[in-house]
Amino acid sequence: MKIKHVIFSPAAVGLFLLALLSAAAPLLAGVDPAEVRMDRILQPPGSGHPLGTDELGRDVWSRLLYGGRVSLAVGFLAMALSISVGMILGTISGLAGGFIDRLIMRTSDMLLSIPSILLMIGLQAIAPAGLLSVILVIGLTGWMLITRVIRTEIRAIRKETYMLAAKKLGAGPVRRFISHLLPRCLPSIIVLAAGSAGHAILAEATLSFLGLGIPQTIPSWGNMLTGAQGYLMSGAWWLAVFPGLCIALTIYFIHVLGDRLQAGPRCPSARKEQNPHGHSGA
Amino acid sequence: MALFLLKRVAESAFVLVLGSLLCFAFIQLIPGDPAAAMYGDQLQKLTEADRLRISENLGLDEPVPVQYIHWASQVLQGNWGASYLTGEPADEVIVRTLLPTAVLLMASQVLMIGLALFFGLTSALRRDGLYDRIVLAASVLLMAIPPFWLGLMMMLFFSIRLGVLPSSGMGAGPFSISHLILPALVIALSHAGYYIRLFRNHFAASSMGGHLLALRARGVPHRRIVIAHILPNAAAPLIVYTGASLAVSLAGSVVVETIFSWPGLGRLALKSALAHDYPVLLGIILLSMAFVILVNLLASLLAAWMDPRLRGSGAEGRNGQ
Repeated sequence: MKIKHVIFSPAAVGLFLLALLSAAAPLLAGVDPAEVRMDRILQPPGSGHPLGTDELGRDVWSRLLYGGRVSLAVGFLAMALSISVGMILGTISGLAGGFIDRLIMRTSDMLLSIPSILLMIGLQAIAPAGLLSVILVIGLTGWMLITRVIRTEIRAIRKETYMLAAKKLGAGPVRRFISHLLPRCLPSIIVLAAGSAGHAILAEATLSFLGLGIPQTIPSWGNMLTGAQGYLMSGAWWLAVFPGLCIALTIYFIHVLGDRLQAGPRCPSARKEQNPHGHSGA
Repeated sequence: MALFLLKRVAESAFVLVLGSLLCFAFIQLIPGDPAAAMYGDQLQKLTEADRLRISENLGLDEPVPVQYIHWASQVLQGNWGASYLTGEPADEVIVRTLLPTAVLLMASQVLMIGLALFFGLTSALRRDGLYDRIVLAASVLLMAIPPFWLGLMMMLFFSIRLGVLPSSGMGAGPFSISHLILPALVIALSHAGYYIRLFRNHFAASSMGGHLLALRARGVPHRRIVIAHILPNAAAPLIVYTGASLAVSLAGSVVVETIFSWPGLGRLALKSALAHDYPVLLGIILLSMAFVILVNLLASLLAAWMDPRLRGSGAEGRNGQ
């Protein structure tokens, strides 16, 4: 598969459009997302507000655009953190072997044994509320699968003769990592990154919905849904429907994109052992 | 098999010890010191000597490894501290929620595995056909929908628009099916997408191979090939995944129990996290971790008993999620 087949696939275009809408929020919103209008609470869609207003009279369309910035940024940063930690630990584990390898692998088993959402709400309970701690908590609880896949790849190539040759010719560990190990792992890293981003966006939404994520002062797709359940009963369906649609759509595009990337050409060693435990449901 | 059994049990025990270390580290990270947590504002009124005595009684002057051993032995004796919210022993608060969660998990697990088996098998048998494509697309869609949003939408549709199913609680009787349907369905559906795909791929792999062609050539009926050859061949890995899926459902229960006011472990976990009720929260984390490790161990032993090939590496059958 050529790279342009991935870039111009409907999923990639959809994802790009969602990001573009969020980036252009100040141009498209029209109304300040934080503007409270007690005279216009819980207005249905239409009526001067394309997607209605919430319980404080804030414009849902505007909050959706600004919320996209937060949700996408948190998802992306948490994913970058997970990938970095996973790559570092996976490389150490794969190269070191022995006790260090066992310790890292068992630690990741241990973290995988705690239902992910429990692990996150446990950490959020002791962390100070805020954007940064949400990113850290999601990023630092999502590296286990990545570590395992990278470790498998590293182990597959560390004994290759060209690795030995590079070592004998005097290439240091950093050099060997950048010019030999990294290129071989890159295809799986890209696929893992897609899965990880989907997981992070879902995790942010879940934590925020539960009241343990992004503080209410900053709109995000997740925390727009926090109070929505209460108003569902009184018929204000638009509070719950639109942010949820955005989250579902984003994750759907990411999944489709991930599948497409996985179907592309990969180096033989990367295909040999695929990790079966790819589920990261929050 | 004996060696494999020993190795897996030792591994699980090691993972459990690592997990208890994490929980102990968690206690050290809790803002404020334990004495303040126990005595609250009253601590301000105590003299310096009293405070020293308290921290001595709590063992806070001991080296950290000694404190860990002390704490671990307390936990093993079932002494999990008192809930900050109600003052009751944490284990009693937790035990009360186990039955509702067990019922919910059983129901959702049966639904989910049923869906995964049915759609996984039927679409694997029609590989790359229209039906297969539709099932795959639908399962990606299910994977993308946030469980809590699915819950809200089902509630909007079935409880508010149609008014046919209750939206919260467990009902008055011991177990009311109508109260159970929505939460169980939400947990099952929100994880079914992933497992349908997984099962489909395994069935697809086990439905290829010359021996099946040979059977067909000999005139063995299609139904018999599926039941006696394709299903058993995929059984061992699927048991491992079913074990792993329990951890996923347990995670899903936090959100779903909260939305549907189901009085179970998940809702208690969130309530304790929001109220900073650390003894209860920590108890839940420890308990569910031990439970997940145990289930994964049992699943991988069962799979290894069925399929000797899995006994060699020991790499198979570790928990997912």
